[in-house]
Amino acid sequence: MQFDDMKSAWQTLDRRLEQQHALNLQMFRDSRTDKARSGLRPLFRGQIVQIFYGMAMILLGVSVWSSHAESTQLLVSGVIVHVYGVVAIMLAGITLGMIRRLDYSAPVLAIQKQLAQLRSFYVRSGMIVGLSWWLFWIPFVACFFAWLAGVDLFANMGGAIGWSVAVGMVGLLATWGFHRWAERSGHSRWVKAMNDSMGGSSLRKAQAVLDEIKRFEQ
Amino acid sequence: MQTMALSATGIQREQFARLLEEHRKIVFKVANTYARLADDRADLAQEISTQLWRAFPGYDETRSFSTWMYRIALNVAISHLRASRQRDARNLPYDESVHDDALVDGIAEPDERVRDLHRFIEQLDALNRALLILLLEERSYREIAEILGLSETNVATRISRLKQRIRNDHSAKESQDRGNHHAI
Repeated sequence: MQFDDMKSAWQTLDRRLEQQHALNLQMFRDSRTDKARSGLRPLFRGQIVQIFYGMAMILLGVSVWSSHAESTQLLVSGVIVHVYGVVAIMLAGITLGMIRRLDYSAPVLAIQKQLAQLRSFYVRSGMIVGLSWWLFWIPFVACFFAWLAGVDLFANMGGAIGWSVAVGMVGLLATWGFHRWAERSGHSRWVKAMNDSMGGSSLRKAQAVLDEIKRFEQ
Repeated sequence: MQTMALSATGIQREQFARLLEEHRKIVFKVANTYARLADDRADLAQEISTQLWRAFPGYDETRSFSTWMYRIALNVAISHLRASRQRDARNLPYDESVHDDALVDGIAEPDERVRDLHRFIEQLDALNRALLILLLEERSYREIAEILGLSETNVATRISRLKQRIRNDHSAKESQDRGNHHAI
């Protein structure tokens, strides 16, 4: 098919469109657009949930570090939980800011780039908030019991804390190593599915879109 | 005061409805290029219209409505295509029996050129589809550059590459047809 044939085929389609029914304008007259589906709405809601989650962490952290100043470990745990909450809120806030800045009337490449960057940031921040639980559970559990029953877990656990930190470090490194290993091709579907569930495929797709835009711009 | 605000919204809605009706072909053409099935196309057309309405308060009347409309329609359609490809991880290759344009009122698409055009579009990535639509719509290089966010020089380069791809596709199809003819 030559370009001229293509143009002629396009004009044929253009003539057919003359007969196509009108758009559903009733929707706008009824002011029902707010109910319309928006692809970014679940992401938006997820970030709102993350803000509440961060606020709960801050409340827990503050209540522990402000009332257990006598125990260095609980004080530090409280500060860690507090900082974690702040980071979770900040990451959600940045994601919400990126969603808000999206203006679909901006040039196509700019918006597509912003969308890919948003996706990449969202996946990475999800990894930070989620994977940190390999170690974060220790100060969190300590704070939770201190807040709930006034118990100092560190005073009762002795050497188990050291082991928990070691297991957490190994788990974190193993997850990172698995992700790196699974990113190479030639693995089973099970390995790919595991990696994808950790956000691997989303990151790859976001990067593929950025690469596609870069190639297009060259 | 509230009545004035309501009537302003009403006027805006009427103005938008009129402009959308005038330019509705842009919505349909973009939807037809990016969605394969009739239901999917209808959804995409509606999604584009909704996004246009949402963005309408920010539309600068001193600028071209069609440029503004193309930007939004293409952005929504590209995102829609990417999302539907993720949903359908199988990413089925083009199949005329599945593609609605192969059928018009239950009859196979009579125009071979239209079939070939759809086959070619299916091979293109999301951004080159946008370029092809604008090229076939005979938009100026300047307007294409404004819609896509490229320089005019870059648009010229991309168009020349796309036309070369069309020529290559044509040559490949011709040699395939010759091969089939000899085989018969």
